[in-house]
Amino acid sequence: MSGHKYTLKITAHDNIGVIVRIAQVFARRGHSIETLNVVRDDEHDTLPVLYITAYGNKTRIDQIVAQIKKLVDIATVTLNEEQDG
Amino acid sequence: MSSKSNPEELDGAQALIKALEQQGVEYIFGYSGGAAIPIFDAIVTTDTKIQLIQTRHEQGATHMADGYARVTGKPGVVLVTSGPGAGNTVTGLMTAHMDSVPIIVLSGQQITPMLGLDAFQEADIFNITMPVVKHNYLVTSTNEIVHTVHQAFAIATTGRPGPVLIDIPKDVSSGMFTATVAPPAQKPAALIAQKPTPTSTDIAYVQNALTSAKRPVILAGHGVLIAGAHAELRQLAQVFDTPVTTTLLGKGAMDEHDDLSLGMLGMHGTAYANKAIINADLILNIGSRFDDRIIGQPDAFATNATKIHVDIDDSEFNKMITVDAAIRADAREFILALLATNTSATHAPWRATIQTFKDNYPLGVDATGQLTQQEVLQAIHAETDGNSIMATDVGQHQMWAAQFYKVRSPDTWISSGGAGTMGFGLPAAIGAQFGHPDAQVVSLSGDGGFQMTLFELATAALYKLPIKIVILDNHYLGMVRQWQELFFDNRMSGVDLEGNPDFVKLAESYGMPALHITDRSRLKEQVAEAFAYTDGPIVLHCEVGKTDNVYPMVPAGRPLEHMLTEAPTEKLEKPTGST
Repeated sequence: MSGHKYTLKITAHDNIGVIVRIAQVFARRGHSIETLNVVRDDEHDTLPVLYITAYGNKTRIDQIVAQIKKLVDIATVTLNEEQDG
Repeated sequence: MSSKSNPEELDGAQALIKALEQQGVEYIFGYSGGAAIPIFDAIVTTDTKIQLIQTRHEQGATHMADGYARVTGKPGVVLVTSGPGAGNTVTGLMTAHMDSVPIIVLSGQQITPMLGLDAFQEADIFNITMPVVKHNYLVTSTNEIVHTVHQAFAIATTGRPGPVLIDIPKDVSSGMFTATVAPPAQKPAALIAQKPTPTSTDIAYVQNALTSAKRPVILAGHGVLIAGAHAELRQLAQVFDTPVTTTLLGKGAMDEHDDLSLGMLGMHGTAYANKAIINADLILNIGSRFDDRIIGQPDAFATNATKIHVDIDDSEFNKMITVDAAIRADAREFILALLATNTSATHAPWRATIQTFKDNYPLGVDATGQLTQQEVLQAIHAETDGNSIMATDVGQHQMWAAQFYKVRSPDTWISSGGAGTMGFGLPAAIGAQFGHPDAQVVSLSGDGGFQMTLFELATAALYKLPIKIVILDNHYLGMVRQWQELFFDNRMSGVDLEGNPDFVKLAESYGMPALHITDRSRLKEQVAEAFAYTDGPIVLHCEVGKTDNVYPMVPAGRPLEHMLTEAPTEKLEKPTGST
């Protein structure tokens, strides 16, 4: 674990394999995912939200975010750097 | 069966064929097998106008679809069976993905109740191909087939194009289709607005940069061709009096016979293109991803130049090179907006400097020993005047072709750039000939790459495609041998292709004529003879020097300033860059 800790908030269309696609963006770069949580709100029929935390330098994490945004099944990605991480 | 007209009576496979028809598909490049039988059957029972092209291997089928797509701009379609059939498409998918080419691969699959149970010829092709496609699907319901096909075509062809795979279990293709076969009213929301236009601020910035620069260079990539912006690019170069260099895949974005053309830049680019980049004070990159083979050492690339990057894919910005301005736009929309400013510039001293580079560092051939690959390429260029569709393989011959075969028109240069896939050339040429039946098509391979997909000679022969199949035979994997000579103390390992067949007899065994070319005094005459033959494919087996090296050469990972224009006199360090 080196670099800062980042949190990616991802909204995704609930299609087969979407988590694999996201995980592959990390794995291809030899990058680990620290934590992964999936939240869904069936009452409001909104898209599932994935929260992923990962360590790394900003350039590398920005690339990962850019590549995840490109995936067809992904709606939005927002990136937060954790304070005192 | 062929009289079925009521949508309710279609099965999934028949609905699939109807959807392909709606997309304007002309050809399916295919290889059958158990799980794909219903789909191959539907090609017969639907009486479709789509023609099935029977290949000899699934990899060949994917490269054919790729070649077809590169020359027509329309997606090439592949149909294969499950397991090994689908597995054999991975190299073709990767090749198309790396070079942003739209192909659609339809793969048969085990029946859905058997998924994951290791049934006969089951391969998890959905997960296997995920990293090498723009998108893929595992269709689990018959009624989803048509919608999926339309989505796949939209995804493959919009924004930055790429391959899409659709995996179709046999029970899904055999089941009754009860939905509608009409195409969707609109593209999926995520694909709307995929032809971005630049902002007026962006255009003002570029306009100012181009007029105030003393030594500007335009770097044109595949994006210019994909956007159909070649005419606009030429106008841009003329209006701003700015020379243009292209990437390997950008060849054809600018007529390479034009005074403003610098040819290809990079590792084996022209010395004058690399010197122009080294000396530039402005680099306007339109539709290239700053590949490692063109930039050498990223942090030492054109350090004195302002760098502007125009790309439709914003994930490319600041990936390899940190730029001064990044503009997300379709290449054509961008150039049109720039032309609409009605400004112009002249750069006479810079143009004179460029001419000095061209005069002092021309591409050279040593025509004293054995016949060289460069001479063969010069002869082909003289015969065609650069007007053929040229499909290359990968290696030394590809780099020499990039240097010596000057391209006139867009979408006539077909080469595996990003993936560097040996075996690409011959099947890609076959696909290109199907795409443009009246065009003159050349397949150019080394003896190594040719043997990787030579079985597609049968396809070329079967359909009597008048392709000129050129084999530049140096009995070596020449590019690797070159690296071993320059960087590994000339230790040859795994590069000697002893055991090659007699290529002339091989061609004749497929029923096609072949010429054996070894003598430079007969080269022109033999090339003319081969190009005059149009009754079907013809093989030109050219035996060339075994140990020639490609120059210029920038050792991988080194700055362009380290370019060698001839054989080095001292030992070189092993490259630290990628490959």
